[in-house]
Amino acid sequence: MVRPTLRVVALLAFALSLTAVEAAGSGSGGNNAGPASGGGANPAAGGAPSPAASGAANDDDALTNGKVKIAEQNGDQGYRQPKTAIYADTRAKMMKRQVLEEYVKFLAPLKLPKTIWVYVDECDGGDSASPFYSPDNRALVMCYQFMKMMEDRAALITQAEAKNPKLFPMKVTRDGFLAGVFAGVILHETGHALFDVLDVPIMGREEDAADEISTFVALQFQPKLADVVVAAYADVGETFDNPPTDAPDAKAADYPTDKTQQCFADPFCAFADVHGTWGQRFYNTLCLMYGGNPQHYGFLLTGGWLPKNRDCPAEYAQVRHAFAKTIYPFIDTDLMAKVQARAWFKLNELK
Amino acid sequence: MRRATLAAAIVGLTQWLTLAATAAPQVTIAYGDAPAGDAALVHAHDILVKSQALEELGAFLSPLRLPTDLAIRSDACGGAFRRPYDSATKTVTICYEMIARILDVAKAQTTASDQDRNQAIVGTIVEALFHETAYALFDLFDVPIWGRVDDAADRLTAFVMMQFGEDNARTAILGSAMFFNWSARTWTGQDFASAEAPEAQRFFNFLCIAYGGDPIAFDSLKTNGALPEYRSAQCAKEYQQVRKAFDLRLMPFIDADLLVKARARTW
Repeated sequence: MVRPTLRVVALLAFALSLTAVEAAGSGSGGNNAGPASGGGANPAAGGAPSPAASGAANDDDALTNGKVKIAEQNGDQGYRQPKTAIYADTRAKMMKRQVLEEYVKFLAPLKLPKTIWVYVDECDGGDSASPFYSPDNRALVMCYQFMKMMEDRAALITQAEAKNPKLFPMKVTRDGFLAGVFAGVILHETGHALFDVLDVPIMGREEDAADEISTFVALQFQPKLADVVVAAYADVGETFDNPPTDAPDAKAADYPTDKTQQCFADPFCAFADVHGTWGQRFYNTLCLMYGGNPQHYGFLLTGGWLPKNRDCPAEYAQVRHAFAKTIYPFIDTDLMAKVQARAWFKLNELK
Repeated sequence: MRRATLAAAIVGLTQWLTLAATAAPQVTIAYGDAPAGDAALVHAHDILVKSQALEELGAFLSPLRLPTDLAIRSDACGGAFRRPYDSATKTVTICYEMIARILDVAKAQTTASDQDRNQAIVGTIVEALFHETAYALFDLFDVPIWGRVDDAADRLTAFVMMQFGEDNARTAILGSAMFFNWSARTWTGQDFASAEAPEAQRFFNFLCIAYGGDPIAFDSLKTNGALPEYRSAQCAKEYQQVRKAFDLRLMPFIDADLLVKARARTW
């Protein structure tokens, strides 16, 4: 999902950087704490979900996918033993929440021509290693480090939000943020996997395409569920730095020795990343939200989060068209309706 | 014998009439007027007319099997650099303001060589023509677009620039990249809400398609550091990705024989 190394910033620093967005807002209630105010999500095509009460017992018998396999090793159920002790707790939480098992159920409607594997690991790349899909072995790997980093981030976000409710477009709770981030990121990586195994033509930039698929899929669910994912995904986009605007001091003590890191520190070279800037990803997400459900997410426009000259309904239609043409044919619609009706989040995560 | 000749003539005439009645859709071109009082726009107009830019673009698009007529015109756009493709009238517009801007940016580079300035001007005008036309192709051929459409237009543009020999590719891609470098501004905050990409991002996107498509001709992009290592390592994949999208979604609408002729022509 992210660049090779995330440059984590102190929350205060990014809070300051948000003043530009704040100033652009008209000040009329940008924050949307409440549940759906009307208007359902727009299913990709047909098969409108029949809303199930959140937290209701799920009938999961049909929800399996023989082409999505949890890559077990030595009986670890797909949750690798971390090398670093601090991730033991993250592993335990993910196992308890059965994130991999849930993921396989979620993908039940997909008719995949090739098997993909999924597991959680302490990935290479240190404490900022982030999830990835590898076409070399068709494996989607979630990283303990990323979830741990998001736990830390959740604390910062909720604290900042308590002080200033207008800091983010949508209010999140700690549990909701963590559930939403996990869902959003694994959907993003699933996008890469689908592009690979379904041979999807990608005319634009693949990383943006993976973001689009994540947000688009989330928006096919009841607004209450969709909110959890898109709010967290947008918040992630907003809490990381954009490229620097000033040339770095190459003599400074903290100037990186690694060439890639040097590039990220340079105001021009930083744009060489295959990912959009965090600002771009934040606005792309908001734009699809508004474009997909203008009633429910109307506050993004009236609150000044989105510029009026961006044609978000057209952007949503573009993604919907691409989805319909390249991925929808691989979806079992009966199972999709079941997945859309299922309660994926726990009650504490829906707040 | 005579009867056979007559029959053949009738068949031939019928075929001709059928063809005439269903003439293949065409690209039509038109140079709109530039406001007489605006010297910069008049100059932009004159440059396009003199270089027969739209005629060349029309010839370039001749291998396409269009489902309907496509209008390509240059026009004054009331101060805007771009006028979005109009899918209702199937009209691509090249704004004189954009041409004037390209000339301005190049002119301001007083330390650049004449050759570089010319390359930037020619390359970026080609880029602007292709970029706006890409929107029409996406619409006419109902191309599914994953990723941002403006980036998709850039990637298709760069990919097409690579199909006409290394010299044309150098002029068009390196010229465009120079322009993006010269015109790069600082992006912060809500600038990133734009549906268009920052100039620096476009710079790397174009160079990556060039290097990925021909790492021999564009080897210097890697060795001189224009493309950082972590990006250049991905460029072959990026190029192949666009190529696949092109082959799957556009190639079926292209006459392969005419395409070969277009590639053999001197542009």
